[in-house]
Amino acid sequence: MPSAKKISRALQALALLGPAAVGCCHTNVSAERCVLAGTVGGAVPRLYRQASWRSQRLPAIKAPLCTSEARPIEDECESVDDLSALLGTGFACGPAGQAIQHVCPSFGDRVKETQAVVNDPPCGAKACPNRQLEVREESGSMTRILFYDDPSCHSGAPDAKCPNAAHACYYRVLAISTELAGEKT
Amino acid sequence: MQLAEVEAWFAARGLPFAWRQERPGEPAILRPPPGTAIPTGNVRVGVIVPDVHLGWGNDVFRFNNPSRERRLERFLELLAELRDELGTSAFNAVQLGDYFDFWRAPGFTAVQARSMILAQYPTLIQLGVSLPLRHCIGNHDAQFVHAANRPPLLDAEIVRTIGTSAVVCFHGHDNVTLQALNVDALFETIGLNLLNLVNSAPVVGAVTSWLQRVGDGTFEESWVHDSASLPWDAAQVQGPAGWVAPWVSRSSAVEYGAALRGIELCLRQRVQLAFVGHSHRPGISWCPVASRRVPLIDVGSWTYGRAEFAVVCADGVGLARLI
Repeated sequence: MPSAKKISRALQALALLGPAAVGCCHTNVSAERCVLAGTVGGAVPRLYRQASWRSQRLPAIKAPLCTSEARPIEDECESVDDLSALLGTGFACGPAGQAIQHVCPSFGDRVKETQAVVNDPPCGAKACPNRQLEVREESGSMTRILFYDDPSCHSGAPDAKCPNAAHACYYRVLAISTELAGEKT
Repeated sequence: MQLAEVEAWFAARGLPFAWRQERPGEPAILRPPPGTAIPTGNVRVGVIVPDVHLGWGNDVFRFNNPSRERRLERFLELLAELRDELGTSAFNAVQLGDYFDFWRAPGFTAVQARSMILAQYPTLIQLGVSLPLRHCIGNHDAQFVHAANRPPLLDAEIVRTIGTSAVVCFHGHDNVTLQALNVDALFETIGLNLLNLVNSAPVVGAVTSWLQRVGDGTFEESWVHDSASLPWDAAQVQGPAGWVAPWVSRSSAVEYGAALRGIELCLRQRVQLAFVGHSHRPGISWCPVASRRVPLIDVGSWTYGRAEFAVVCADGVGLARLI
């Protein structure tokens, strides 16, 4: 005797009702981008993620963040740090356990990690070493992003089912530089 | 008012509702941490209406009952009575998007489709406008992004708040950016309109509508009349500290956390509670926002004969369905 679930599935297939399912749509992808922005008076650039890049009005970051004292909402520790956000490797802990939280679009093999050009961690000797990414554009232009560790955001796994959501190191953007490729004049 | 008082208030006026039973003996009610209240400011009662899908003909809202709208009209009339009793500033009604279903109204333009829906549900829509029912924008009524496509005075936005910015509502189809609401769904629109035409045909329409309900995948036992909505799996990780609920694992909860963080940075205020629709499967879940856990409540739908909604009071949030 087939199970009720199988009967339901068979009816679904017979009725060719695939389009009737909810959630059958593709949203416009034009908003899927992250923005690295420096601001007037800011010493450190800010990474605006997919859900907030259109409103680039957050206050400047005047110095690297190392302590949790009097931290405003925009500088809270995120589920996924800036480095993992750009690499697309950051886990967050949800009700079903851990899952990758996509907060920036995928850059594929255009992004790679390189040796950091500045080695001194701004948050002191106890901080994890600086790291660096390079993102190459099709035009040949290349953006170099230097990250520092914010020890105040270090944390253990939020749940036993979310081991990869721990933050032994927590990387924020420290500096950016762009090499603009062009044609010979 | 407390949740139990709202329940008694509706029952006394002849439109009783029951709290959803998430698991045996566990009503789908969210309670805030002891000594705290749901942060709705001056709003004493909030009512959240999920996806409705008003279309043309025998749409998924009517579902083989041409007088189905009378029940929602009665519900909105009672909400207006409750608003008058509490005072306008102490009452708030939000609809989570997919109020109109432009994918099930055969117009060649959004305005033509809107006109067909308005012609089918004039009283219902007028009751919502006058309440006012404050709408979010869903994927099936993404045309509401443009004010010219909305019915006169219909109030629609991407994100709504209830009382304070700590309680937010959005539809939930764009769980990445909350900016990409325009939906590229030409084939789905053609397909669902064809299906809706078949469903609206005499005799055969009742059968195909029922088959569509069976195939919808959002019912616990879809072949049984008046079956409950399909529950989500129980949560593997407990919800925010101090909050009490029969937690479930709504799909995309981790992604919603990123979207809610975007709302927070836009409003520059921490969100403490969020409501979504879209799935047609109610349940009380949570999502990771920065390093916090925020309750995420899916309210369900009014499709295929269901009449689900949420009630928000200082003492908690309840998922309900009309009996």
